[in-house]
Amino acid sequence: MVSPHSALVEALSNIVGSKFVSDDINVRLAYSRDASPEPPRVCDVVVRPSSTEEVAEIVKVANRFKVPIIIRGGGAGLVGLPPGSGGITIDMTRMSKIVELDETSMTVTVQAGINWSLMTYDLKKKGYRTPFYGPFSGGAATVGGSISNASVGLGSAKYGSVADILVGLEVVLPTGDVIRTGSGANPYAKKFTRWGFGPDTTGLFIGDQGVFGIKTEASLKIIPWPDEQAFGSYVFQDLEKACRAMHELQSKRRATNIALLEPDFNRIFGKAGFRGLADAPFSVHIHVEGYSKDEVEKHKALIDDIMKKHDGQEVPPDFPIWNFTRPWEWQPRTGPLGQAWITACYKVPILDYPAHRDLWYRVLDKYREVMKEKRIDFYVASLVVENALDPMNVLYWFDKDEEAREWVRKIWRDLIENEIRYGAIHYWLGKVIGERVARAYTGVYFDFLRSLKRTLDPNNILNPGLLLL
Amino acid sequence: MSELFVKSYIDEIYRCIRCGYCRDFARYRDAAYKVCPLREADTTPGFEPYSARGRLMLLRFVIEGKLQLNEKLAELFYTCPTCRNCWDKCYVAQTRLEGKYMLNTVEIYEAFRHDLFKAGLISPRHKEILEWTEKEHNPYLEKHEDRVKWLPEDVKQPPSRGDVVYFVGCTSSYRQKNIASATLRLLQKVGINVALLYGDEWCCGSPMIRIGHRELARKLAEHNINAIKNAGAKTVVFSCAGCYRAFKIDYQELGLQPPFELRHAIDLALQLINEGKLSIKKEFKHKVTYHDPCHTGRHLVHMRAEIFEQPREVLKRIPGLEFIEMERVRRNSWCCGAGGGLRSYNPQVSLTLAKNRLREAEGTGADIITSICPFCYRNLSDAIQMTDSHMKMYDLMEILDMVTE
Repeated sequence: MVSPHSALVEALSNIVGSKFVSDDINVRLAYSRDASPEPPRVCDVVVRPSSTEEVAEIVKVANRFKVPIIIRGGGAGLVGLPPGSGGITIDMTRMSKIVELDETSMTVTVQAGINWSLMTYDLKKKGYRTPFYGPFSGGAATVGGSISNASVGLGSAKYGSVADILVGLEVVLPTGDVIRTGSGANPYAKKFTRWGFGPDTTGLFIGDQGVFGIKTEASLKIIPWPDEQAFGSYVFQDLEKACRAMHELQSKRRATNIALLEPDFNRIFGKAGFRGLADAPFSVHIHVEGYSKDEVEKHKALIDDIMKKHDGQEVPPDFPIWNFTRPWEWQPRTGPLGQAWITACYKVPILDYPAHRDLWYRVLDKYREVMKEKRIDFYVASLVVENALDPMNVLYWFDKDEEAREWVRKIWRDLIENEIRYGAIHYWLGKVIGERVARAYTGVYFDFLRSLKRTLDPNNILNPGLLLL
Repeated sequence: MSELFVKSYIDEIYRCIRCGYCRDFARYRDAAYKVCPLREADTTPGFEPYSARGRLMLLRFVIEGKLQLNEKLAELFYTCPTCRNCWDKCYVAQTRLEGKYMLNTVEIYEAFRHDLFKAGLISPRHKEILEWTEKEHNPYLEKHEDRVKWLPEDVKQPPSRGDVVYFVGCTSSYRQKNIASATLRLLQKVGINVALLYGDEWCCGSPMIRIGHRELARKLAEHNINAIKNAGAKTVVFSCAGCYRAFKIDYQELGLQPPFELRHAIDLALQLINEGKLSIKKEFKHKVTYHDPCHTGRHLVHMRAEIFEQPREVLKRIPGLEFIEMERVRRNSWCCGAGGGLRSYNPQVSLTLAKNRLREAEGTGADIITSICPFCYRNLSDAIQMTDSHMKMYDLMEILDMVTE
């Protein structure tokens, strides 16, 4: 029987070779979900390009056939795939090369399908690292996917998000045209700075959820690999004091990473042998980097002073040593009993965090009985992102229990909607968070985005439906 | 259709959180590399089902009745050497719950292969192997009566009964006879009056488990256990990683308990060297690198029975031999591609994996690659031949045989 998509498959095969195109139902189903509890979205065909030129040709084919494109990086998103069904899924992970390491400009240009861990360890061999060095899912998450989601994570206390280290992009527009942004827009210039040469079009594609273009290359800042490190862990009896301590600490910007653990995670890590945490209500964990022992010790001494000034009690830094010297190893785990999990990270000013936390518990109060019955748990840990706190409020459930999964989807949505109303700034959005964020846009702002989308993507080809566009 | 066997792993299958770390991230000596050799091999397209995450997601659809068993699905599950690296590198799998590892990928794949076999979705080649083994007790399409033809004339005829039995295995009996000869000579050199089962040795059943015919595997296992009991043995020695793994793990999982001490020959050899019973007399002036077979490494880690140090210890005792490690060793050893029924199912993919491993071995500057598995030997030797590599393949028992008197 001829596949209903045989003409499309043939057109795509002509671009990337038949080996890297599949309309087999097994392959399509294996691409039908991300890491969220959202139901599957089955595409018509999966394609794995290896170059910008191939991506551009695929986009032109999609326009010709009027079929949507679903862009996929590491596939570890926690937000659901775009709404609808069918279309072409582009798996970007064959595009995983380091294109250019420019030591004079202190930048690296990579293909967007490289994941953070592969890039980081390749850079390490040359003695470099990106200042922000990826989300906690960086063993799978791609650089391109992170840019589409304005990722924060490792290095964010000091260096901010992926946006802050980006100097330019190569983007395949929804029509199949290819542009460079940042200084790369000047064909005579190196890719070394984001600003100038006209408006900041790089920013248009940061956090866009892939609706405005497909990132094929990214140029990122690099720093010499920081050889020296110091760690600190402090227990707080009072959340407000912990927040004040982190707030003051961020006025100095000495730490590369700062994490806040709350009672449930403290108990888990305490049980796993991390000293001083088992009975801690709140704990703040610091990771300092530098280029000499003196430098990191000075930073550490200052941090000590600030933490103790706010009644932080120092405990052995087992958690930050584990979490920050072995990055990307915390996230890829189940709950303590093998549960699945979901969260919705967002940014909120550090001192506003206690009020946000109260909000969650008011929302959760509505679900106490069902959470008990369906064995749904709620744990919290947070990360400092410059002037903000990024709470990771985690719902755990046993995924085999379909009813529990459905309850989690409902509770998760309720939390997100309330968070947005309380001023939360979510950044990885996808379907579930994206549609809620878009509903919060003012009419004028949404119209502005919609007119941009219509201008750039007249056939609504790229990730249609995300951000309600 | 009867209840799927793979459903007995439903709790584990639903524990996969789809993080994708089974694809491209394994931290090792401050480096990251791809986890699945199939994703590194350029003979596969590397779609999601060529990773544990993709396979486990498909199994959810199967269990939920949303995906029927089909030929393409079978192809995806049989195109895997079951090297167990996805288990080893998965943080969920490596977590224990109530004393057990939480997600045993290879066991799940093999359970599903049993379902595929039951549904008649095995390849013609595998069907031929199973039918032949049922009849002639070996997967090499050789006559059972030829099983002992490997026995060299220059050794003392081994008895058919004794405390110690050497279980030769099909690969060394019919193909890598050099390994069987070397092992036997070595055991006899130290005065072990090692017995052979002769015609009573049947295939260990490992290929049947890997393909999914558990009933035949059990029949073979029962026969072998009885044959060894009848030979009066207390200890069984193996030179084949696959047979060793079958006795050590598969037989237990089939509900059988071999009542013998099970020893890989290299483990025994090291003991004999340490006790002064086997002395190394000659130099071996070569640069040598060592390949850890999956079946004596990652497959045994969960029972803390892995054989990582013994071969290295032996190599270090050989004068003149310069031992050079590859980048990916021990738990991180890169699969040669022979196992899991892949060599018979898809020789092209299997050999690509072998070539990738060979390339890594060549990168050490060694002129010899050695191992302790006749099946790894076969695939790596073929890769050497196909690529005109300067390297030579020896089983470690052969090297030991050469340097001892």
